[in-house]
Amino acid sequence: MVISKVKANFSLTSIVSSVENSNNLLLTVPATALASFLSWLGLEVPILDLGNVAGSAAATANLTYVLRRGSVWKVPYPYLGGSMISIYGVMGGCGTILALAVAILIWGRRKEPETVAKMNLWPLLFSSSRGFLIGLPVILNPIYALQLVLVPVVNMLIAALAIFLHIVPTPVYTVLTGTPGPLVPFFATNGNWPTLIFTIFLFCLDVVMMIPAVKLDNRTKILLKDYEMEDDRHV
Amino acid sequence: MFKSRNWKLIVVALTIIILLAVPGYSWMKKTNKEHAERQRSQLSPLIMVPGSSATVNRFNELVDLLNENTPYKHSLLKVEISEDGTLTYSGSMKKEDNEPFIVIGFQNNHDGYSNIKKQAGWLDDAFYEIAKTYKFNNFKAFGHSNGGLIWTYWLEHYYSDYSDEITIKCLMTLGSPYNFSEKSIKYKTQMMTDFIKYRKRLPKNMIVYSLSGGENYESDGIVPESSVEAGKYIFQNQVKSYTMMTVTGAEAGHSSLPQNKQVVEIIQDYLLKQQVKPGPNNSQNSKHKEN
Repeated sequence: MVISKVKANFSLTSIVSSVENSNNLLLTVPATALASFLSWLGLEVPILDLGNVAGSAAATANLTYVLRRGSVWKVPYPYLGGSMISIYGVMGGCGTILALAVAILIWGRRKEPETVAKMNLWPLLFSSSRGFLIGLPVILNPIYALQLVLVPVVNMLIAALAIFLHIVPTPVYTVLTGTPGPLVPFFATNGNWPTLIFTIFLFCLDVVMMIPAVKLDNRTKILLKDYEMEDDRHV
Repeated sequence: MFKSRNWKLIVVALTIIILLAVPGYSWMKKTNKEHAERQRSQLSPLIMVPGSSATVNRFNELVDLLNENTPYKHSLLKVEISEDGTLTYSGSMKKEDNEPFIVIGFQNNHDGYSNIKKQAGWLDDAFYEIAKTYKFNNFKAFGHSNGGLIWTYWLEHYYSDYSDEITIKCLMTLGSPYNFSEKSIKYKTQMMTDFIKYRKRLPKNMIVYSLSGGENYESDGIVPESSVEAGKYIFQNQVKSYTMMTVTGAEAGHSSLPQNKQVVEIIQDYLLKQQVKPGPNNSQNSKHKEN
């Protein structure tokens, strides 16, 4: 009986919708990590789907609650998966990628990544990350794997803590496509000022978390040269 | 390490974001306020569209009959729309009235499919304005004769623009000739073919009543019964429920249908909210049963 039930539910859509409608961080945080890892592999769909709450009944319930009662603190799903992933986890789609670009612009010392970051700064600001993901490349690049998986998870956990402590309300409003990542939580809470300050702090933290990867990338040329020399010696 | 060029770029980006966020902020505040107002609104108007050759005053008598013997008098707002899309309002909408009647009539009220398409476009202009002004989240539609056809066309081609925020609960058509004057469904008019073609766009949660008049066994004097009946090919198994009723007896002719006593009763029973005595208990919670 149980097995057949599991089988019946085993499809991407059903997995995605159970995570995006979930209020349980123990489920949504690992799912975000997995989806982020898949996006590092080049599979964008899972993380985009997880964050797409347009058809989510739970997100609608949250929004309706806030619209009807005018109170933002007692929504039925305070840590709703879909909202947390899209709004804090990846900050509107590519807020975390934007953090990486900013880190490269500040701390990067190699010409090529810097040029790619510069060229992609404007698309990234308006939530279009593909050029950067492929141009750098981020996809399948082991240097950025850890950060790409870790940063959304950290964002979500910190945001959940902030919501728990009533520092920021649960984001419930829909945000226009292309809204700059760091502004997404602000707009999704109908312009809640503590949320803006909190998000700026979170974004700066993301940039800082990206530094080790950038530093590692700065050294790749030297590391590669060493490796090749080592290789040559064996030959 | 801190190259000045990149810092400049970052500062410029930051400035532009802040500049763009200012209009974005006011837009967001305004939109969210409107959403909230619409969500909280208790208003559920009945919007009526008259048939061909009729004006916004077509339903005056019907409204008088509907307002007889009820403690709540529904207010009546009439909107006439000219060919260039200008709206002329008459009548009024009382603030405390949660179920007002809105009649939308057309300056160009001629018959014919091409004109029905145009009228549906005008209906949409008027609907847009009314929905923006009065901020209701659900409504009921009523159409006499061609009015029902205009509603059907509007539902198939325009309603999706609103369906996120505004729900149509019920559509009642009265003597609407879905197959014009054709007596047999074997001969489908262009309009009928189009209605069937786009039927999938009709809202799934809508309740539809199609009323026909029976002056004799075949028609209400103008519209053949089989043409009204052809509505089943559009609505049946597409909307939540589709019910056909035939009214006979005195005043069952096509033009007198809106003044027919049975029609008035049917509208009261099926289209309007059941009137309850005012009390503290039943003011809330009666709204969102049908989500």
